[in-house]
Amino acid sequence: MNAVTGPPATEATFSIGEVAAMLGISPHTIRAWERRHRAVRPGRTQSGQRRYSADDVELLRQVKYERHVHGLSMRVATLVAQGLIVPEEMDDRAPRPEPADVVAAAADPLRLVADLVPEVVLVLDEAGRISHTNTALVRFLDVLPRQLRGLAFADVVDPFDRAKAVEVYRPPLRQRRGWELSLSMGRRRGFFSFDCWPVERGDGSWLVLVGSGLDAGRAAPGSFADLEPDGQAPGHRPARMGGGELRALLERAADPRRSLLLLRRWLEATALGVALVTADAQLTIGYANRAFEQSVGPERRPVQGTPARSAWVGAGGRQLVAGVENVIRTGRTLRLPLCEPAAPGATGPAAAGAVWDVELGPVADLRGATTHVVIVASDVTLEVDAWQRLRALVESAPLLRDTSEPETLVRGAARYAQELLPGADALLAAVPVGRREDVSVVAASGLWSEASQGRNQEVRMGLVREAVRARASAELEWNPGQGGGEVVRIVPLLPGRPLPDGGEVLGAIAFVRRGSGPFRADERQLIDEFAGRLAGALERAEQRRPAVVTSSLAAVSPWRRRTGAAREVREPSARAATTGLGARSV
Amino acid sequence: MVAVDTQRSGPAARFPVRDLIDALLGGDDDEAFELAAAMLAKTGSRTAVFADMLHSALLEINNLWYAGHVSHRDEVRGAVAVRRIVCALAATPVARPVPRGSRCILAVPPGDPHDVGLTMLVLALEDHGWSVEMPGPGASLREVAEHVVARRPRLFGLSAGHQPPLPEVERAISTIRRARVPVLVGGVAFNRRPDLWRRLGAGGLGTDVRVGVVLAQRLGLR
Repeated sequence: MNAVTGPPATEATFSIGEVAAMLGISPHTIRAWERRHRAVRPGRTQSGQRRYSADDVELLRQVKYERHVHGLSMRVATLVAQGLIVPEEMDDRAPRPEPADVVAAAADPLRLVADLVPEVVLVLDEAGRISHTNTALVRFLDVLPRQLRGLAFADVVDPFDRAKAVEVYRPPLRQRRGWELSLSMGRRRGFFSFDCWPVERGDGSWLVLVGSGLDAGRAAPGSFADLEPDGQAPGHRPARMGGGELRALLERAADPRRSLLLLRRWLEATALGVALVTADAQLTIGYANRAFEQSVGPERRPVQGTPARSAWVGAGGRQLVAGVENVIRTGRTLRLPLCEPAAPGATGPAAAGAVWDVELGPVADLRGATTHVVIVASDVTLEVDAWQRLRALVESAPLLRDTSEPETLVRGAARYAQELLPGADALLAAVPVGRREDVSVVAASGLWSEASQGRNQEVRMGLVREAVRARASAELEWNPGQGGGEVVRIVPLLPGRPLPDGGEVLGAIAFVRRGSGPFRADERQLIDEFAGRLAGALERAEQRRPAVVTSSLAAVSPWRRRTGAAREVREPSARAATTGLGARSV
Repeated sequence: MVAVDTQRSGPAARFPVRDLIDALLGGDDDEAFELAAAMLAKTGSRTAVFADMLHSALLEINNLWYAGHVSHRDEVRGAVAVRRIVCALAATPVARPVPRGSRCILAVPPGDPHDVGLTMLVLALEDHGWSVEMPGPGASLREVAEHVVARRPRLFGLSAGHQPPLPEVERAISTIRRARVPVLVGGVAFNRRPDLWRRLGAGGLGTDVRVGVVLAQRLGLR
């Protein structure tokens, strides 16, 4: 018989009361940490009571220590205790890392990226196996990091997207933009747009994938009619790290600056301008990252540790100081555009000067008083430029601006799409109701309509069908064999909400250009903005379309040509009309 | 009507660890003691002050030394000051102590000078009603194991600041467990390698004084 007292140590578990006694905090607090911050995930007995392992207890103790000694916010303390942030970055006396050094000196690829950004980040090896992931992905998939390590990337991708996922890491590894994939694991599913970068290191090649969520972040598309010249940044921009996320990380931190310094590696490498201003009489700038000091800050010089009132003295500076004062006074978030004069000789989108979308948000202490203001500025120059070019186009296009007729809209869109990008040929395709896997061409020009290139056309149309099926933008460079390389960009027309017939895609707009290299960022922005506006306008028109004339419209227009599903669409509307609920739409 | 200054409770608000660290590193032992005494008066628990304040401060100073931000001299001076505070704080017996006669033996490996943590644990266990024995500082682990087997306490605790020779520790723990005495380990040497206690066959790792007290009750009084 085993003479050892008690069960083997590794099997020992503790009740929440015991854990509370070990940590000196209440069971209620422990449950709150679990619920709000997912600090630990205890096991359960058959009767549902929590059972904590020794590792859980140690992790909670670490969380408490970080809160207690370093004054971190709960969220950051949890990430530190879970080992998802490297504590060595807390030393603010260390020299500021150069962005290049961040990449070169990183012993661990995970350090190339921040664990605290809302985007999901993966590092793949040459065989497509997951080497590292960031916190956002781990939390999205609701697994532990070690469960993902070594797994084939394709295994966390929706089966329908796996062929596309494999393409991402097929040698040679290459940079890609906007590669949209559906991630799926267990019950967790999400739709992401990935940017991919190959990274060469001594021990081989790696691929870094950064994905933005498209499900939650996608706002309702705008329309052509709301392109008003109000000088503001466009309203629907892709979701990105903003003041809200940063403020959540600093929430109720005893020392927000210290919490911010933990993110320093990412903050010094990001293009977002980030600054933390103390709410004292002089508005001392507690922290300002490189992007803020060199690009956003009105004076273009190091300002960290200096009073904002004396450091920011230009027109933009006064605007910022006034914004900070406003936030301190009201305790509310504030957004303001910050425009700077153009640099001499600047061309392209920057010719009109950079435009920054600045968000100022309060950071409150334990008592709820605003102690700091966090400033996050993102460069929206390209977006504003695309928006202005689009507005100029639409102003001369009454077909787009003044109609709610789907067919008129389509004719207008087909016509003006040709003028959108000089040198690129446009295609407008529709998804027939009831045949969602297919697309029908509404309007095409140039390369899209060349009958002599049957094989190439098949490839291009295959890409369009794939993008529509995946509801994902795609951009591909390929060599059709003659006339030089082509670049194709396809953007599906996605309504803000499902259509009355349950459809989720209206169609797609696609551009192809030969021999001119990939689309520039401002051109991509313009295409995406146009597609978003067109989708919004079409969706509204579709929602307003009288059900009784559906069949006749379908007969005259290829757009949304009705098939067997037309009956399913008409019936609810007819029913609504008889009950009076559909009076407005009939 | 009396105006009451309300303050939300929170770990950072309750325990002025950073003030204590500043006082210890600044050589202001009186200030450090005042801070600890004030917290003892506020919480009424010596164990809480040990675990949440003194141990945290020592650990942070230790980390600062590892990172090269403070000198070895600062670290030693801080540890000496904490030891003085630990011994000077008044006892705070708990309302529901362990059964009378509950006895444990605590030891450090021979030659290990780090005994502040062990002292805290001894005092905290005494506050909880334990009767604590400590073998002489020069005793080898084999001698300690023989002593434990002879005395048959409810619990044996081993605290190590430096990592002792692991085969010796493993043998000692095995001997003691064969005598049906549960073993609790703790100290920096074990805390820095969180899986070591399992490998050595110990019953638990007391990462700080409070965890140590709860584990002692769990292991020793079942």
